[in-house]
Amino acid sequence: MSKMKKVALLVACVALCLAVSGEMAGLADAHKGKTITLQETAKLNLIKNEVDFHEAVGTATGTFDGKVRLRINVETASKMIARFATRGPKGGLIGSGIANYTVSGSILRFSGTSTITGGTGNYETAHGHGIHIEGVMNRLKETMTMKFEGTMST
Amino acid sequence: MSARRLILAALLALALLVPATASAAPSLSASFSPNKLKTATTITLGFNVGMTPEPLTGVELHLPRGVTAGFNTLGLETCDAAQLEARGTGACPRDSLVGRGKGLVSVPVGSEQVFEPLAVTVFMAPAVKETTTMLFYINGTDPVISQLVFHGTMVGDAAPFGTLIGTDIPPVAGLPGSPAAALVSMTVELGPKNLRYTKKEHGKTVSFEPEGFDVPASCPAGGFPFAGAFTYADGSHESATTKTPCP
Repeated sequence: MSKMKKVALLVACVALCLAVSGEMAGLADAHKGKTITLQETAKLNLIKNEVDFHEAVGTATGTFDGKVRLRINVETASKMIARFATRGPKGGLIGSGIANYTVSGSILRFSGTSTITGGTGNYETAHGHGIHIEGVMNRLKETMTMKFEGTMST
Repeated sequence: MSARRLILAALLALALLVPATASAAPSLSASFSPNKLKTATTITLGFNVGMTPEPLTGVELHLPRGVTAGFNTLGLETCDAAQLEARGTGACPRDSLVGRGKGLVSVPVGSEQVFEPLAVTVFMAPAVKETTTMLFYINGTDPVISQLVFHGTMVGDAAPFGTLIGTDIPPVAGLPGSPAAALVSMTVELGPKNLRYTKKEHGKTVSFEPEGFDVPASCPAGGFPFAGAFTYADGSHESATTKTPCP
C-alpha cells in the first residue's frame, strides 16, 4: 500500500472513530435528563436465609427487563430494609428501600418505599425517590413477588 | 355432698398445698434454647404478677432487637378463633401451632384464694388490620376456666427492642357471687422443641421441624434485654425487666 493510501486510511479511521464516539456520547446524552415511569414486577427466589440477612435473586419485567438481586435485613418484627441491584442489556439500577411487613401463615406481605441511588451503563446517573414497593413472600417455598412503581430520572 | 362442693373442697385442699404468692412487684423471665448467637431458637417467656388487688387485663412483652421470626417457618398456617373456641385445639391446623406453656389463675373462694392450673397453647392467626396476630388458647379445669381464647399481636418495637407481643386478657368470671378470677402467671415456649410440621416434597408428605425465633449475631453488653408491661382492671400499670446472659 502506498504511503498516501496509508495516511488516507488512517485519517478515515480516525474520522470514523470520532464519529462513532460522538454518536455514543449522543446516545448516552439521549438517556440523560429523562424521566421514566417505572413499573416493574420481579419474581425472586430466596437463596440465602441467614439470621442476620436474607438474599433473593430473580428476574424483573416491565419498564426494564433483567436480573434482580435483593438483600434484606430484618430490623424489627414489622420492618425490613432491602438493597437491590438490577442488571439488563443496557445497564442496571442500584437502590434501597424500607418496608413494613405482616405475617399471616405462610404469607409475608410487605409494602413501603424505595430510592434509586445510581446505576450502570445507560442508567449511571439514575435517581428516584418515593418509588412504591410492595410484595408477597411465601415463607415455606421461599419465593417472592414484588412490584416497583414510581418515576426515576437519568 | 354435691359435685360442686366436692370440687371446691378439692380446690381448697390444693390451695393449702400451693404456696400463696404474696403481693409483690411482677417478675419476668426469659431464656433461649439453644442459647447461641446467629441461631434459630426456642424462646421461653414467663411472667408472674402475684396476688394483685385488680385482675390482669393486658400484657405487653418486649423482645430484644434482632429476635424475630418473620422470615422463618414458625406458624405456616393459621387457626380461626371461632373454630378454636367451638372445637378446641383440634380445630387448628398442625402447622399453625407456635407455642406451648402453662399458667395459674387465682380464684377467690370465700376468704381464700385457690389456684387453678392452666395449659396454654399459642397458634398463628390470620393477620388483622395488617398486624401479625396470634391466638392464645387457655385450657383449665373447673370450676372457673374451662376454655378461654384471646388474641395477641406481634409488631415491631423501638430500640433496644425489636418485637412487641401484646395481648388483651379477657375478664375471667369467678365463682357465683365471688369476685373475678385473675391470671397470676404464665410461661410460654415460642417455637417449642420437638414441634413438627409437614410439607409436600416431590409429591410426598415430609415432616420437618420449623425454625423458631432468631438469636441475633451479636449480643449487647450485659445480655439480651426483655421487658414486660402489665395493665390491671383499674387502669393501673406495672412493669418488669430481665436480661438473658450473652452466650
